[in-house]
Amino acid sequence: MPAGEAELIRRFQSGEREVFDELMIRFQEKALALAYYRTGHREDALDIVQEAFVRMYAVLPKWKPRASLFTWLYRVIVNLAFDRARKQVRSGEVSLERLPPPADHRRARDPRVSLEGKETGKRIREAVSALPEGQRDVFVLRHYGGLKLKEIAAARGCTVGAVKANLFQALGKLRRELEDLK
Amino acid sequence: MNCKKFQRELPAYLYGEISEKERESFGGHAETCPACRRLLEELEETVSRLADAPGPEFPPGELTALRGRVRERVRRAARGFEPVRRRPGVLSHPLFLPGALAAALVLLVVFRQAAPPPPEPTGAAALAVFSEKVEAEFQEFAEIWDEIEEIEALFPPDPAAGAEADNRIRELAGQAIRGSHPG
Repeated sequence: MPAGEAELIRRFQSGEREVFDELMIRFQEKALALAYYRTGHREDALDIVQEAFVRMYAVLPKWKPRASLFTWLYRVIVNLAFDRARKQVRSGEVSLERLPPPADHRRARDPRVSLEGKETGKRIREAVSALPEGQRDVFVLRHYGGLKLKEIAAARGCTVGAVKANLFQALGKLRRELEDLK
Repeated sequence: MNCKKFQRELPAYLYGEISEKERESFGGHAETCPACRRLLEELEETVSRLADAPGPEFPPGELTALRGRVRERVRRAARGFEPVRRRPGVLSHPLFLPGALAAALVLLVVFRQAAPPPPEPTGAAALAVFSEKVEAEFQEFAEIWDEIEEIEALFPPDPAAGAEADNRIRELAGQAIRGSHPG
């Protein structure tokens, strides 16, 4: 567990409830990136991270500092995103036809569209979204979350070797998808 | 280092999670293997490009609002789970006992007034009640009659002076009785 994180948790458990805000700030961007790439929607990502933070507040008093708190948060976010997707499919809000198209279909873009600035960001987000789930999670946690490969392995409950393999595959696909971005 | 290990460790190298010794070994293999060198250069460029590009956009204001919503939910949950406080000193208050007695008295009166009337007697019981009532009324009349006789004994009426008035009263009384009981 990162030293700063352990100290914040210790202070929280000693009664300094204000440090919870610092913990949220520490995790918010990586949590939102993960939730966003899991759901594909900003609003859903905000809702999920909100719920995950509320649950984090509830577990903190009895949290044992064995692993990074984010490894636990990762599982909560993944489960919440999964539950939300399942409910949306059941309620008819989302159908299989409306799921994001596979990466190959995204190649048919208007070449006149500018690839600068926001368009570049959009292209990258689309390419990341199109990655298979395991590769996408590993890439997002490493690239946007800043987690070490070992921490990602702990969060996902797999080996570091598996994390490296997923990351290698993800980077290879992103390179192919974004090769026209010069 | 061979190509297989090079590719396996490439992500760790790209994200700076590799020891100095492994880094030297990496560099040595890349110099001697054009395919791995090209792969390394391409992925380095990809990581660099991705690092420059923004991730999903969540403005600072949105992040502040998110934390505010979490704090509010936590506060509400905390309020819901607080133990219910006992009210101190209610039983030990000096006016508690008199107040309780007064309240009990008021409630007793209210309940008695609101209580349903006793059932009407029937049969032999009703006859006995009626007889007692008639007897009581007769007794009242008897006492009044005795008083009248005592007064008349003290002041005996003059038959000549009151005969005409007496006759008139009898006549009116007869008319009244006939009017209230026609036929």
